[in-house]
Amino acid sequence: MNNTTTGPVSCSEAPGRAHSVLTEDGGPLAPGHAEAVWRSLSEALDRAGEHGRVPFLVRLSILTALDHLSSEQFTTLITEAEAGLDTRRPPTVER
Amino acid sequence: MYFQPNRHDFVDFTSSSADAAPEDVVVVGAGPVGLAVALGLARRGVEVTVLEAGDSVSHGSRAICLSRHSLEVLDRIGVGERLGSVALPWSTGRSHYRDTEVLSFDMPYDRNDVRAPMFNISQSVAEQIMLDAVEAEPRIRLFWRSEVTEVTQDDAEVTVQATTPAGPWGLRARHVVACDGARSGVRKALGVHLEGTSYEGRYVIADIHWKSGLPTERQAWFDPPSNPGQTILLHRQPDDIWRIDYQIEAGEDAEEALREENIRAVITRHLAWLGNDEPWTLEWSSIYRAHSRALDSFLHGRVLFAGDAAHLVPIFGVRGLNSGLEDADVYTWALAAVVRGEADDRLLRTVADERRDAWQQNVDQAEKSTLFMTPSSDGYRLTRDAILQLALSRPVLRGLINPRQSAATHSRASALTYTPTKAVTGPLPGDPLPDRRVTTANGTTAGVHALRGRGFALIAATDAAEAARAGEQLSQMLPGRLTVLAARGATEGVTVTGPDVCTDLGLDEGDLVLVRPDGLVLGRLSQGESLEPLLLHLTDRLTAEGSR
Repeated sequence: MNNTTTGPVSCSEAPGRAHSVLTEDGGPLAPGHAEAVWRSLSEALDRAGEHGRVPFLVRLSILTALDHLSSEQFTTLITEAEAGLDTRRPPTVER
Repeated sequence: MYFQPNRHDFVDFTSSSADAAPEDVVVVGAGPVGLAVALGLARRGVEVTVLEAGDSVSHGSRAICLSRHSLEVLDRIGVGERLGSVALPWSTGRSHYRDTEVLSFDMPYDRNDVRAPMFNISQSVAEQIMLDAVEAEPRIRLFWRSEVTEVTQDDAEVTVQATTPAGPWGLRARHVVACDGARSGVRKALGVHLEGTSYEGRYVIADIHWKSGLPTERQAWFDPPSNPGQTILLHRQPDDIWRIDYQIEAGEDAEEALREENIRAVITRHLAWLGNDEPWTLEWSSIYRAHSRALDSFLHGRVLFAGDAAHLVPIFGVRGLNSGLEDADVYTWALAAVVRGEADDRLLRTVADERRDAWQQNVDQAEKSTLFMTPSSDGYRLTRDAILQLALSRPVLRGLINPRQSAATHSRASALTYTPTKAVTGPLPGDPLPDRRVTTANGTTAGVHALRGRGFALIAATDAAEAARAGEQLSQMLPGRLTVLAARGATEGVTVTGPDVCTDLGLDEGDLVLVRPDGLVLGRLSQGESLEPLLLHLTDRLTAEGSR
């Protein structure tokens, strides 16, 4: 089994893999890590409160980028996050 | 035709006299869990009296999704075949964010599985099928319109007072099983309370009659264009009945949300968005709020608590009725063994503790689903929406959207579970034994649980003669009859399964698996391990106080 989560590796350990954060043993990111991210971020957002939420997210993004991402990776992730912004689209679902 | 329950009259009966022997078991509540407990006990030869405050089975679909394990439980009490012939099997689901599908899941299901992972059937129809079986069972007496208001007990018996149309009535019993639901009268009478968390999110649940070609699967829409901001769930039931659940706003008045024109408006918009041009009728509706609450103990004196009377779990992942049926399955073999004097009373403490632990297992899963389906705070709402927006590009996030459908719980931490000294492959001690299809040496094809019956069983990856020798020793320590299944050979009294089932279950040559009546693995031995410690364990855990 190679999906033991030991935390994302730094950019220097995973060059050119901006879209697939790896565990230290090179396996895919485990669902348990996604759950931990979801829960810890949710609770931190609640602690930050309505007015502190945006500044908190900015600080968190800067720290994450400085500690774990190259400039190129960070720019790519900004683009991905912008694509997921809250925009209403007309229904185009296949039925 | 939407199911309408029959009303049942009160039938007068006499109170227990002071000099008569107490009844063996009184079950309070004739919902699905109470009926399952009554049937489970009666099938094991125990006479049961059931008291129900109402006058009918429930109305409305309520708990519509039964797990494959629940069907296995219902098979053991003799109603699985009929229920399975009516219910709709399913194994897949899809979740959408706005107009985009963000998750498609497929629950494990292969040709050797006896049953599909899930079945949809209205709770009221399921109850009626169980009630028909109860009415045909001479060991069960069921009294409608008999509301339990007082419960007192001492070391030897429980006295139950009920209010009936003919006045107050009293009954003495050695054991009571409280299955009287979320508003349990027994719980109130004993002064015990559910503790835990109640969530803010509320859902309207509605049954509609609608002819649609959509498949039988779980569909969820988050923030759909039809009803922006809402979450909507859709399930097919038999007979062109569809169940629709949708979340209402935090501050919305429940009475207002349940007004027919308001429900119709939400459903009309959604079905129109799905491209529907068929007429539909609203058949039933209710409102639901999620809870994770339980008693601190499921055994109080001589009263066992089961189902919603003992514990509440959030609806998401469908663990409510499914866990109640597990309670019934676990309690009934243990209680029957105690009533027959084949096990001592401590077994009831063991199984009550197992089911309390099972509730915690269920809550651990259901709470994650609930936090996602009904985010409890702005933080969780923001991350939920972000996860939905990113799920297409980040597959790892899809696991958070998955509703984590109910599966059988384990009893790995139970005092009754025998932990092996050697590592094993396949189901661990305490795990539910999967119901896999087997073709026996004589050509019969059946599920492994059907072959082993409703008592204890030994599954041996050995020769039949060796299995018979082990079975002979084990049966001395176990309540009821032991069924022995072996991989090969031929010995009288041993069913020979062929080696494939052992391989399929992950057993190695020489492995012995002792299965409890409820299908949980009590213990395992590997080739060369002595039976003696397991025999001592069984003596200690089942009969140490000398009731045999």
